[in-house]
Amino acid sequence: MKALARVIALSLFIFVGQSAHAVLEIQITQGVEGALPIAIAVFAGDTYTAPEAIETIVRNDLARSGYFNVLDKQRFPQMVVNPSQLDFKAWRDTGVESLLLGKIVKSTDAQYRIEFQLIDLIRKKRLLGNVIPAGTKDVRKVGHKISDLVFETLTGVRGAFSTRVAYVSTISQGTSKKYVLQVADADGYNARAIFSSSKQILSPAWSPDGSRLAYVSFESGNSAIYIQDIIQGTRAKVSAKKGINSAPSWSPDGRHLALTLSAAGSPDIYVLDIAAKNLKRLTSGPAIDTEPSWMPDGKTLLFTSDRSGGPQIYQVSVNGGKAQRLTFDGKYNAAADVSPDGRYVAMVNNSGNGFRVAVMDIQSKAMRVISKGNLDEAPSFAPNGSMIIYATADQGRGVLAAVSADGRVKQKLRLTEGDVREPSWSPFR
Amino acid sequence: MTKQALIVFLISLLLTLGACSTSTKQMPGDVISDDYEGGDVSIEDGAQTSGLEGEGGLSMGTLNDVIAQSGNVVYFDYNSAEIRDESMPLIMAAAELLSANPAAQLRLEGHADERGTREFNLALGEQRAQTVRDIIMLQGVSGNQLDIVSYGEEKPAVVGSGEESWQQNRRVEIIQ
Repeated sequence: MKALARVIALSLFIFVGQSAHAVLEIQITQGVEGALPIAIAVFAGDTYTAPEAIETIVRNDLARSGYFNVLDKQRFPQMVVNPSQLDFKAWRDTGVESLLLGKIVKSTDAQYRIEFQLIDLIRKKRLLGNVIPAGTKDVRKVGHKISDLVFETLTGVRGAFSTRVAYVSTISQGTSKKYVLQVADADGYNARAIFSSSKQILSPAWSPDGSRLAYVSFESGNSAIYIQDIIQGTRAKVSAKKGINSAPSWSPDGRHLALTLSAAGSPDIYVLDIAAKNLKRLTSGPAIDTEPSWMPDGKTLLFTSDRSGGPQIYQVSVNGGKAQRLTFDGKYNAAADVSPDGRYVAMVNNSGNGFRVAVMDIQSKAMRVISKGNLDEAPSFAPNGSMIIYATADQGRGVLAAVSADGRVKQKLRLTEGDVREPSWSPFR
Repeated sequence: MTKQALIVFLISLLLTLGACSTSTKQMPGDVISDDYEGGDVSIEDGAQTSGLEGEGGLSMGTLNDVIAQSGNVVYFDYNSAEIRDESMPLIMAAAELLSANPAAQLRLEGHADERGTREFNLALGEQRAQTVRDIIMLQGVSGNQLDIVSYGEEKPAVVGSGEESWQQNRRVEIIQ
């Protein structure tokens, strides 16, 4: 695989909770050969009171995905394009094969109509023609929505630009630290603190409907699991037993939470019925069993166990019973996250070159290491399975990075302040 | 409250008062308790000592002597919860203190270095603390006298990568 080294640095300025002025910078550190050449024209009438032009949001989304080669504005043959005056040849001469153009029409005081078309310049065919009504505050949402539609039309894969990412950031305040659970748009904008504490926060996990986050907080002095409604902000403590209460993972139906408890001695996997509040134990024995992750069919779970020596990934039925070992490549395999289609599992692997993200084909057991750090961890699939976000270290600081599931496209998300870790990609909204 | 419970309560109260008056004298400027930042976790102050009984005071001195000499930390190999020989004097002194003072309590805080996943390290930190606890219990100490908490890799003693830092972080702290 020959990857075309391309660096597109996009400095995205955002405000993070009360910490203010934090800047999240997204860098595409490695692009892909054969990316689709596309142009995003300036939307006509984009004089919106919005902070940004729609076309900028779409351009950044598509470029960041690594699947597109987006034409530089300076090479545009026409600035604003009226469909009736579209110069096909001039656009084709720049090398692009598709063109997104659109306009923004003010319908009432605070209401707009955003019209857009996706044109196949080779076959002179309209691939998309849509109108989206929007309020002044919906600009980013509409931009991501358009990106999703363009991405799906041209790649055949549902776009995940309208999704979100939860992560934990650590900010030093003098000698003490503040831990903040944040939820941001998948492009890093719009980050908001949903919980902050002077004690550690770990393992945020999205409910399948994207309305709640389960996480581990040490605010009581020991680990305990909480479920927080991210809209209301209300939360409930769901496990605070003696020993470890950790590694929450939602069942696909959203009714159960798999978790790790050590109240009976050593850490084992349990399934909590969230409404009925009863616990079912899935594993036992003196070894460490942790990091449960549901298969999409809800019938089995993967988890990490050191029962054979070093940590490896095992699979167990939701009814318990004997667990099957899944991983044999490398001395350290942990923190499994299953792709939405159930075909692949991302994990932290160490085969002697450091802790890296690897993806295994569950059927063939073929494993491929797709990151290059020494301390990479917490891999989490995008809901369309195209990318995996993970935590890595950059010059001693915790940053987030994303890599395409095939390892070809890489990007780094870097907060200029504090450490970022424990990313978790949301489901589709 | 039963009569028995009342007696136990009164005795603990006496021990607590004893502890308050003696502990500052016994451990002037003891850095061990300052190191501990989990201020919201209730460790009963009274559990630190049974100084009213002669034997207890002696044992307390012994653990403090060991700590003064070589610290309150048990260190581990990478990805291991096995106790090294060098840590045995500290663990045995802790066991002696607890068996001589059934009302005394110790807290064992397990930690791991930054390598590997956070969740696995949380489990590993607990396993390390449990190994220390099990050796202490083998000396006839009640498990109720020992409190375990694991912070995994979340509370490193030393920040930084490399074996020197990692070794400092793979540890169980014995906290009075």
